[in-house]
Amino acid sequence: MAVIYEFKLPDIGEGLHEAEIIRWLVREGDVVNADQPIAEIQTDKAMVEMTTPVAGKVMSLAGPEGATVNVGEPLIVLDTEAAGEPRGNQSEQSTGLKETSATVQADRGTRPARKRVIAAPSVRKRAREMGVPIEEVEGTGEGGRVTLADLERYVREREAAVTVAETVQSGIGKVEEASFARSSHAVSDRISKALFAPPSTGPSPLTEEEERIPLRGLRKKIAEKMVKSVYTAPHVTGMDEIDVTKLVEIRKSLAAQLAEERIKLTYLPFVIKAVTRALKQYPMFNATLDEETNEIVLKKRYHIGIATATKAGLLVPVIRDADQKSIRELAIEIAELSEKAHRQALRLEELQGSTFTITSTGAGGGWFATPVINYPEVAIFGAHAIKRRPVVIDDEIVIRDIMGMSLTFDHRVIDGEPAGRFMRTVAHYLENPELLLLDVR
Amino acid sequence: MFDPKELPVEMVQILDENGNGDEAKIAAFSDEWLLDAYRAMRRARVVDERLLRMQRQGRIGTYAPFSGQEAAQIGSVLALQKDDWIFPSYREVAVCLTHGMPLEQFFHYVRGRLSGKRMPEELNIFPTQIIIAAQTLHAVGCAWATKLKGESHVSVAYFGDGATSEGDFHEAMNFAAVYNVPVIFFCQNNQYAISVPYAKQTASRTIAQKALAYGMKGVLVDGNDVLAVYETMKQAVEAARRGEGPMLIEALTYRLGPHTTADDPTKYRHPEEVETWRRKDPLHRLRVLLERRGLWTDAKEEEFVAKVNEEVTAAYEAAVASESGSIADVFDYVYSEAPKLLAEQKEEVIRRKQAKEVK
Repeated sequence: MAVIYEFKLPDIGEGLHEAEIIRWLVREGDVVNADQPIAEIQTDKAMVEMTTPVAGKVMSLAGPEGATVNVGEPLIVLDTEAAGEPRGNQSEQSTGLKETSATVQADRGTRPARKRVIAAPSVRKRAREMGVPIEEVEGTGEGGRVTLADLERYVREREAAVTVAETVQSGIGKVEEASFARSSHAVSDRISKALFAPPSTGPSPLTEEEERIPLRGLRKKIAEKMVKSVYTAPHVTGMDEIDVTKLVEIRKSLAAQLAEERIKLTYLPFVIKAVTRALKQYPMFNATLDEETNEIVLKKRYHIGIATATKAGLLVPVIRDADQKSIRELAIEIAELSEKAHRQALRLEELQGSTFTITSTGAGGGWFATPVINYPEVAIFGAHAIKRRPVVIDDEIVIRDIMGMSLTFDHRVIDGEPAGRFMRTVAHYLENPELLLLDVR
Repeated sequence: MFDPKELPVEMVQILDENGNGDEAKIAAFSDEWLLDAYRAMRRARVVDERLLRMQRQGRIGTYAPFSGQEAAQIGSVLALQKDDWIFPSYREVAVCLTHGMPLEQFFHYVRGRLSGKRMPEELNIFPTQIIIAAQTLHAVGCAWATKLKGESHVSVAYFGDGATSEGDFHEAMNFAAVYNVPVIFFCQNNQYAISVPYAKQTASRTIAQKALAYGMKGVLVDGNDVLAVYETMKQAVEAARRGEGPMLIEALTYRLGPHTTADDPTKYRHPEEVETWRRKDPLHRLRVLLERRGLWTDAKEEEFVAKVNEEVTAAYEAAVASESGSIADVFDYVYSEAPKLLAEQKEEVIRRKQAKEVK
């Protein structure tokens, strides 16, 4: 006759309410000896190995790995009459000098590694509700802690890869059914009803609410180029503000002049002039890295790529010998290239051969960014929105026009210190645009 | 000018971590002594592991494991006489067991019974002290009484590195030295005050050197070398008994497990550090020595451990069977005659308990 013993989860840590089952060390039907380890559980305080107080045959477990058990609820149910031949005994666990470990922590080291998830109980609970296997979620919090945002990101990414998501979801359901639906005992039934309710994300209705767009053409090219750049060059981005109050005035006045000639004058020609000046002072920025020969190749001409947003995607037409061109010439060429880009009418040579790239995100693009280098170049300059901001000049707060700038550089070739000097040089020209007159031929 | 950096502090060691060492000194220890020491240490280790598991099974309350500190605890207590006084903290289970405390008694304590703190009359062991370093003062007071009465007992205050950051410790040290009383300050430096590492507790290179400022002798000993601990303690106890005053002993050791069953040491200690100290296990080096002398085998160990396990089970069952009393008893132990308020509270507790039982 079966004599049932319920091992109720004790408060093992001074004021605990619940614990998560991390790993079962026994299965239903196993015969266990007293003091034999049965499970690893995670409390709010520590990962703890649990041992059974009595010997017996395992009738049921409190739930699948990842489930939560409240203090005072049965963790495992044993038939103490069915204690057969024990597998291992007490003396084994504490005799040998090789296993001198006194604690759970020590024991754990010898077991196959299992990823230890760091997450607040509320996040674990949410993960269970969402049907997310928390050990698969990459934690971005302190020390790899999984946060609610990580769960959401995980779900988004999973939805993006629908086929994978489907496999995972149906997989979870099947495993749970197979392992635990066998529980027949009254107590375990009660537990299992609570625990084995189908995951809230069933066979996904989401698949019908999605649209699949093939990655091809320009989009595919952009994807490949970005991946190549980001995974090849260690990107570092510096950011700063530039006081462009004078430039705003000058552009306004010159734009009015050029408007009569139907030429649109943006800030970009000024930025190009300032950048090419800086490139001449810091040749390392107008370069590529030849990985075959381990040489840095300094370019002696200044072909500036202009990142241009089009309906089809990002294009980078090139202004050749930009350093040789006047503001007016640059303004005209930019307008032409931009117009062609939007018509998808750029010729191949107009898209090739840049030595340095500028991305001008304009008024709607935010104040700062972390641009991706136009590989194989070694740096990219971002000219961003201009805002009227209060700034301190001579200990007084005044309103000035401030432009955000960013410089992403390939840290294999360029260090932070020269990058800072490069940015200050560009800023110097843009803050004092009259300096550009000095070199006008 | 004094410069603590120039102070030479050497660690006393007889048996190194591989079971080798000072052969002449090792030879002075009899087979019988070594076997007794080993059995006491192995017994303590088994008890400690069982208690940890029993806490996880909800059979006992919060527990502070001592595995790794057996040599410091047992080496020191073996150097005492039966009527010497012990003032333990909560981690000194091996000390108390070796000095004669019945295991059943300890089960009463960890199961929250009032009787758990009432040591048998014939045992000179003070109730376990939870307040950090408070027992150092009690030990000094007891030693002073001993001196005034002309008795020959020595009092030993057991405490950890964390206690040396407490005011009580410094007051006790000062008083003991000024009054030249027969007390030993036995510090097990297990290098963590719960989670605070030694370097964040004190700028002293050693705890032993703190003795100098109080005008007493101090010594640093390898706390995982039971022979060195015994020899050092023996010298200290004999000196105290001769009237030469107190001494501070720092036994450098390591707690292999958590501070208590309520913390997670992986959060504040590197696994490699634990592994380093596991190789310095006090039981290992002694067992190597025993095997070299042909005194111990796997079979003997197995038999001995099984016996201890039976002892633990029997003690636990006896403790549970003999539990008595109720919550109302807590009012009985502070005053010989309960003040009015306490008496009223006690009556209320009894009344409520009865009301509950009627329901």
